[in-house]
Amino acid sequence: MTTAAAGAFPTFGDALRILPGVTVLEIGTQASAPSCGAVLASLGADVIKVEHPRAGDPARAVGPFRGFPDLHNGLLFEGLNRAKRSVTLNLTMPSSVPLVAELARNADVVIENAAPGGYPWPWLETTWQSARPAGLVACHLSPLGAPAGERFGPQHELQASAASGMSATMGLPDRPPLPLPPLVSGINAGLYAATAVLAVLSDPNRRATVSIEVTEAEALLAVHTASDLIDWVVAQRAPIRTGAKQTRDGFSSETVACADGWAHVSLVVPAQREHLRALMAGAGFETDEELQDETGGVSELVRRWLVTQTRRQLLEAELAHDVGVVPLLSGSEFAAIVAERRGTAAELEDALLVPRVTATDECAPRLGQHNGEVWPAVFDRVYGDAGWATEAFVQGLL
Amino acid sequence: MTGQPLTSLRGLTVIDLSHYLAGSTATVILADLGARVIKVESSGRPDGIRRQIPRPAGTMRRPVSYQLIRDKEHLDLDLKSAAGRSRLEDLVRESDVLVENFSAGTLDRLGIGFAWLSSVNPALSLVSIRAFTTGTDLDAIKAGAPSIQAMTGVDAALGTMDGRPLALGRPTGDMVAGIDAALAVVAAWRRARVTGRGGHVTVGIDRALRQLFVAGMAGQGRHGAGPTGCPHAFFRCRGHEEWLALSCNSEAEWRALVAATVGDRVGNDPRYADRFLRKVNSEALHREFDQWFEGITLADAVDRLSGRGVTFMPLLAPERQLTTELFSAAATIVVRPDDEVGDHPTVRHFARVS
Repeated sequence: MTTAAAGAFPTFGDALRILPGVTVLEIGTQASAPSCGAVLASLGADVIKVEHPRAGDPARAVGPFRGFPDLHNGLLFEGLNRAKRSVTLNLTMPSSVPLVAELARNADVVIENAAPGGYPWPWLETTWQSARPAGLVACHLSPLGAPAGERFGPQHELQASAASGMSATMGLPDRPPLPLPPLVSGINAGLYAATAVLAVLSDPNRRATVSIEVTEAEALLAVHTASDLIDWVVAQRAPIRTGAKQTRDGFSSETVACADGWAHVSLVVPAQREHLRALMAGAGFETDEELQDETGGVSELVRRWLVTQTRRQLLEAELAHDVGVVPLLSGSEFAAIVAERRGTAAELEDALLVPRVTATDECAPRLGQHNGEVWPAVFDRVYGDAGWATEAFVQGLL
Repeated sequence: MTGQPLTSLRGLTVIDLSHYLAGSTATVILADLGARVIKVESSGRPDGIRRQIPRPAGTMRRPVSYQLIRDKEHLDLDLKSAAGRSRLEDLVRESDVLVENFSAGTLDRLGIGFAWLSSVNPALSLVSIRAFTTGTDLDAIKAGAPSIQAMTGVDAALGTMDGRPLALGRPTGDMVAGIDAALAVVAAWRRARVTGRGGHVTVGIDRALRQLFVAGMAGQGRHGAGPTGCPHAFFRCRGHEEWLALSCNSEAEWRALVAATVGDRVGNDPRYADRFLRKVNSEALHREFDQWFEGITLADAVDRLSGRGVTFMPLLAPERQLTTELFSAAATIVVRPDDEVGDHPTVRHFARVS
């Protein structure tokens, strides 16, 4: 992999490529297994992704696309599958047995997220374990896991959002709870699983195969909502959907309308409240009125000042005066502002959080043409630093 | 599929200087993977998370902190005192990684930045968590999780309801940064075992959020405008705050769903004849199911739908999570005795291992 675009934070490079010589077999679609594989790939592992010869990973067809739809490569797919190699295999056909055994013989890690019943997993596991008697790391990902059985029907990420408690706080008060946006649950589980896989790989005392099952529901619960559970048991306080206003310890954190959209106002830090008061006074909103109303929400005075301010003005004010007010931006607006402040052009791909392509698109995998052949470095690309944290979180290593 | 806990990180010693959520999330994951975590706080300035959540009457310990501070060794150190610094120096000598999420420059001001840490122990790595890591003046913004989520496009991706923007109701960015930081700790440790040298890794909450919302796809609100099937939403059952999530992604699921619930009147309605039409007419379709679920309790609805090939899940608020076999049978939720606040449920990381 070549180095990434220039940025203040040195990109991945060779700094944390700690998994050279580690081979990962990824049998997965959509988000969870591929994002787990993506982490290992960015740490230098050789990740071989197995896809169905005709259907491929359905994530390929998920937009947005780089240009006019290239149905082989949605940008999400590229982001999650960079730096991997790809092989097409129809795992439901007996002819794939020797090929899977061959791949397994060389694999240190197997990651899969096939729906229960989708592929003959027990058979596959036997195959790769006998091929690798010294032991490998097997990682199984699914929305709910095996204990859910047939009870809740075909598994879907919506169930993880509902079971984990994430949805219990998403939405407006007295309105239906909301699902997480698509694939968030899977990406979260994949990152989480990668931590365990990396830990097991790094265990010098490991002797046998270790099988780790990570469910999307558990990954959301364990990381994001565990505190609600304990909170409820001790205080008997049910979680509430947040709506536009959150009040904790009496201080408000709220999304409020401004001149050209919305701004997020946080009245939590005392110093910021004083800065905000001074800034408003400078704009003729001087008064002894409180910044918060009697319910703890943002006061009428602050609201009246905010609707005179554009998001651009609010951002400059925040940078100059530390007032606890930031504009609500879209992802591409945020990327454009970062690019502007760096003095670089805001590129579409940066805005969409995707890698920049340097290798020619000719090497993009074409499904249905090969079966059983490992593609050479088809995802070898350069990544902008607006992308995955694992690509970009290294500062000053080496 | 539950077994013995993973102890892969036995031998890894982590100094935890973090406060609030992100760093503590990282270190409790590491502790559950077998690492030794030493959480350093000063009694004069304890971790702010202890102030954040109302404590139960008559107790000292805050409930949320239990999940984030369990299974760590606790050390009371004033990093500004000579004695505290000397004790930290001893710790640094015998540790592998230090995790912190102070604001930028704090560690250097305390005289314990990466240069000092390296001089004491060249093999030690520093993992820092910051709000913004853009490399621009934006990084100076003092922002809590809701502000970072507003700035980076997460809230925009959630969309609006009733003309109001939706927000993620919890500090998701801190938590995902916690996963990234845990990964960084293991990676840096592994690297140092080979090279003998530590490094400084910075994890950005902004990056973590954009990583999670990489798809950039808008939340679908109520009526399934996204790529998923239809119906795809929560429906209120008879009673207060009794919700059931329903998703229908194939013709087989649709037939099973109709048979178990609304019946042929809806099933044979030409407006819902295939998945495209169901999307086109999603508002009317959701109203049909709204009405049907209003007439039945959640428990009855679960009975009706169980094992029928219908994708569903009751909304699990905390009290239900405690009893569902989704978590308890997998030993993900473990109840620990505690002298101060009685039995605490705690969520164990990676409980499904064999």
